[in-house]
Amino acid sequence: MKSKVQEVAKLAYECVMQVKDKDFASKYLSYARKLPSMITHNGLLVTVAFAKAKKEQAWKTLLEHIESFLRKEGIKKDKKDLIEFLSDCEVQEYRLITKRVLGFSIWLKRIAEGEIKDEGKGD
Amino acid sequence: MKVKEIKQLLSQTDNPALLFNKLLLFKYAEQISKGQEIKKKDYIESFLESLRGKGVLKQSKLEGISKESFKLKTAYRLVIGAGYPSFVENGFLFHHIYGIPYIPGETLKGLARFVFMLSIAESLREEVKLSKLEEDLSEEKAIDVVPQKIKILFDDYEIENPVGTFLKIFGSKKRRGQIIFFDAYPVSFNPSRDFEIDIMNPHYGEYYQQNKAPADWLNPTPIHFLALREGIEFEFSLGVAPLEPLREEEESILLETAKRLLEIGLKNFGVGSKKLKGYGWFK
Repeated sequence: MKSKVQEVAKLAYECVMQVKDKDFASKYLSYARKLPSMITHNGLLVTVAFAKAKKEQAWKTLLEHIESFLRKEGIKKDKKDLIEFLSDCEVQEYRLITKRVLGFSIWLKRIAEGEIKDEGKGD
Repeated sequence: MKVKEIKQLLSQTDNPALLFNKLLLFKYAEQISKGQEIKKKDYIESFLESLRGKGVLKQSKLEGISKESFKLKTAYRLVIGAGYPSFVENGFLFHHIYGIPYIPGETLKGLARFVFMLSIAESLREEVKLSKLEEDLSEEKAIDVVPQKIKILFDDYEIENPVGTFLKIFGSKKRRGQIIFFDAYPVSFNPSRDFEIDIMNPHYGEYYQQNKAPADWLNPTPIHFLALREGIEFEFSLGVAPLEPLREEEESILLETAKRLLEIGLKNFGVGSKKLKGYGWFK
């Protein structure tokens, strides 16, 4: 039997492996590094909005990964846009989701730092 | 209550930090999810707009802990914490609970320490590297070259036994410093008047980053950010940590020295971002 943490870690590992050989990998690494502190500092919705406003492949992939986490956890079932989905949540629910995504983003950061080579390209 | 309904309550929020970092965006969430672009300038302007008419916040006293304090006004705009993550690229440092801008104690301690080291370097006859000097001081290596008395930079105040004083005020890798630098808060803060919208406008980005010619036809890139206006009074407070007993006159000498160092630093070097342009200087 797998523990909950193992499952989260496994998904994070699969996500990072998808981007490992892509050309935006080092950008992905630098954004994954920033993600947990952005969520704590600015809240989940602001972080998602910021990422979306950037219109960059690395941010887009990161958002897809967050969404796939929410789907796997059974939190998000519809096809709505992530911002729209979060706006429609109850406030208590939103706080719970923030906490869960924060936990996942720490795993993303951890694994990205281990798997992706830092080329110092990110800003 | 649903998350999107928060935007109806925005005008009731008194806390600038909560507004700027977390809540204001709810107003724009719908537009962003439709893929529309939000101008950073609009975002900051609507932040200023939401704070209009909000009451003045007064500071309460640090009684009993602070031994020495003085007040200075910002001589130009102050930008602090621009590196914090934010929706508008450049963040801003707010107190996490009170939501007002402040200057962290570690920034002030670092500034005073820097002035002390410059003063030591200035008193030496030969050329010295500041990084080397800092390493020697923080490892308490006896520095024989430092004279018995030095003068603080831009000041006539004399410090006897500079190395010993330095270690007592700021500490080293082996021990803690005995002077506490408290966070500095505005004496009275008016959220509806004290924030300003500012702009930087780099013209030659393509020249710096992509090795193109630095030519006239490159386009400027306006970047808007939040700043504090000039003329806001801050109170700076120092205290003494009860680590080892100090003679009374020694205590007052340490406090006086630290105070002067800090004051010189604030008036001549500044704190925060864009110091070379005069931001963050005090008078």
